[in-house]
Amino acid sequence: MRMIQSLAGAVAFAFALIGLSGAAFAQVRVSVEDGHLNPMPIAVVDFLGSNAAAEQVGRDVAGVIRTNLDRSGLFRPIPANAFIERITALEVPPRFGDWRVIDAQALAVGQVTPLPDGRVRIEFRLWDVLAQNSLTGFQYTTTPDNWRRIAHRISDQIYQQLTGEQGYFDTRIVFVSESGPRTRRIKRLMIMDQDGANPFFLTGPEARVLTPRFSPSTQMITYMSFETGAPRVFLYNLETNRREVLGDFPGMTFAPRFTPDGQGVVFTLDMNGNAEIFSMNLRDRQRRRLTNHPGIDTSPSYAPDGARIVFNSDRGGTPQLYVMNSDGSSQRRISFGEGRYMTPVWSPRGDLIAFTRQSGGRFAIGVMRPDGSGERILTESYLDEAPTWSPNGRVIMFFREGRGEGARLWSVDLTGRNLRQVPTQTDASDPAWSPLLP
Amino acid sequence: MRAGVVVSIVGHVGAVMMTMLAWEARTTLSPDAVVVVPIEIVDVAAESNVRALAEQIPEEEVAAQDTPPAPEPPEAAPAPTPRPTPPQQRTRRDEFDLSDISGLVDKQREPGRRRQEGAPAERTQRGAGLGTAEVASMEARIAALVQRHLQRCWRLPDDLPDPDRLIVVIEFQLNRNGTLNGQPQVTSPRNYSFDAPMNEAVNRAVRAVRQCDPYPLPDDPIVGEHFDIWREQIVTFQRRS
Repeated sequence: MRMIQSLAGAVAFAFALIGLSGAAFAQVRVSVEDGHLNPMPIAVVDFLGSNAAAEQVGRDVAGVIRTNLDRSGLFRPIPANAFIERITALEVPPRFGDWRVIDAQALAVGQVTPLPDGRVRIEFRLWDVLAQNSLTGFQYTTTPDNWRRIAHRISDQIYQQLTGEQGYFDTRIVFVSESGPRTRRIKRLMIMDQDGANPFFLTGPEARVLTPRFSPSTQMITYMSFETGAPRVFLYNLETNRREVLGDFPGMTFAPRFTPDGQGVVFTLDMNGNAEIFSMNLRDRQRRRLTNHPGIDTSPSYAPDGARIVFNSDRGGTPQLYVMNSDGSSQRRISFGEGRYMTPVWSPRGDLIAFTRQSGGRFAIGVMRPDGSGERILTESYLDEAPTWSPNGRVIMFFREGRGEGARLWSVDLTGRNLRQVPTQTDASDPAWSPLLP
Repeated sequence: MRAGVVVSIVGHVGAVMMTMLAWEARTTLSPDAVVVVPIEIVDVAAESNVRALAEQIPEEEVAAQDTPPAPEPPEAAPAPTPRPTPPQQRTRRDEFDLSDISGLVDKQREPGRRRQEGAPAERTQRGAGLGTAEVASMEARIAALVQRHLQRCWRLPDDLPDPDRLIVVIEFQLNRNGTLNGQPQVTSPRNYSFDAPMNEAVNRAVRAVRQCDPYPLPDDPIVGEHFDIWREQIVTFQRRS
């Protein structure tokens, strides 16, 4: 018995010692609180091509991807003359050491192959240089003139893999193109890719247009036009190029916007100087009144879940932001800062509301939470107005006008640090960002 | 017979235990060295990872050549040697400051950081030859070195929604030459697959740990020899709110 006891004691002691020696290697605890917000260095190699034409497409695709990533402010494309390894085949894994040395954290490679039927196959792979593994790979078959769209899709893939968020490059912008002298300004609807490429007019120079907005399907646009004399809300079908007036109302209709499901439109109807917000189902064309107040209620915008609407009202004396349920109940004010708050737009992510604020003779674009807290101004100038969200809720586009200068489109991200002009051929205002194209 | 068995068992257990103990001679470090030596941490280039390969493949040369030379695989890189950086490149930011250490030691006394306090005592028992205070100051120095190193590699979560809640703890091990040993492990949060911002915060933390590989600890004159203290790191990434 005693032997067993002493045996057990000895074994227990041995185990205790084993435990102790196991703990002998300390774990140093480190707390990192500071870092950087620098863009991620990425290498995008010109896509390979099996003949001269394919090589040209490969260079163009890589160029558009680099421009997209650079403009996002989240990536820094590394200049090609710093590359050490020359990629010659898509199937062979790259020499990661060569890319690490030039500080690339990710590497995008691709290849363009002409097919016998005249189309091209565009393949691409994305490598994580630090983890030394493949992140994603895709291939698209398309007509050669569609390469730009493929470049945007690849950019979206890269963006999503490396930021964890959906991209926004394969999208379009509809806006009001402005030309002519100030007194007789011509305002036409124009549509283009988000990077300014492929612009074309949707409406003629006869009628002034304002506030275009995309439907969730990206196939329809609703906007306000003076085409029939008084301001009216129109619907424009991008597939059929047909347009129609939204209902026949006794007064002026303006500030239209689609419901999140695309089945309805919410807008302002002004009858005898009292502007109220209405919604209309596009199937049965039934309209429903949502506000009822002697003040001006306008600029409605749905939350992405369709449950609430943010709008603009001067019922308190100055224009301020209010939130209500989508049936018009529970209206309450959310903006309490200095100045006038206008053109609220609910983020597609749901977490923020963008707005224009006018105070002290200047205009600013800012964001706040749906309960009115956390107000932040992202950019401010002589005139910044009309924010619209990228589909991932990370970037806001708006128009900026200088004193005596024409309006131009600009974009700023949620940090407020990445402010960029969006290239347009004419003066431009009232941008609306489409959802990702299907 | 019984006594013989007991003696035999105790003897065997004793022999096994002896193999677990390392008796290090206390020759490498005099207490004075801890106090006096001024240290400067210098990197070849803060912008790049040319640490190990710098002497072999200068970037300009490579860029100028038409056909790049077959570079050596990363494993073939020699162990880091003291870097030939001229003194004028040293920046103030990288200078070692003893007040940093005292700051860190103070932080250890804060209520939330108790876990470290028990650890040094265990280590003195196994004969490393270091006093509790020495170990504590070494740990503080290691933490300061790793912290400073990682700050250059970590992209803050400031642009993600609700960044204050995005706290990530990564555990990783190092080799004796300062390179990463194996994969960094995420110890916190546990479930984040359906939490997109947290997922991205975890990615950024893991990327920082990988990007900062290799770590400058072996080159440090004070803690460089004490691989057993710095071989395992637990790093909390939490932005200052």
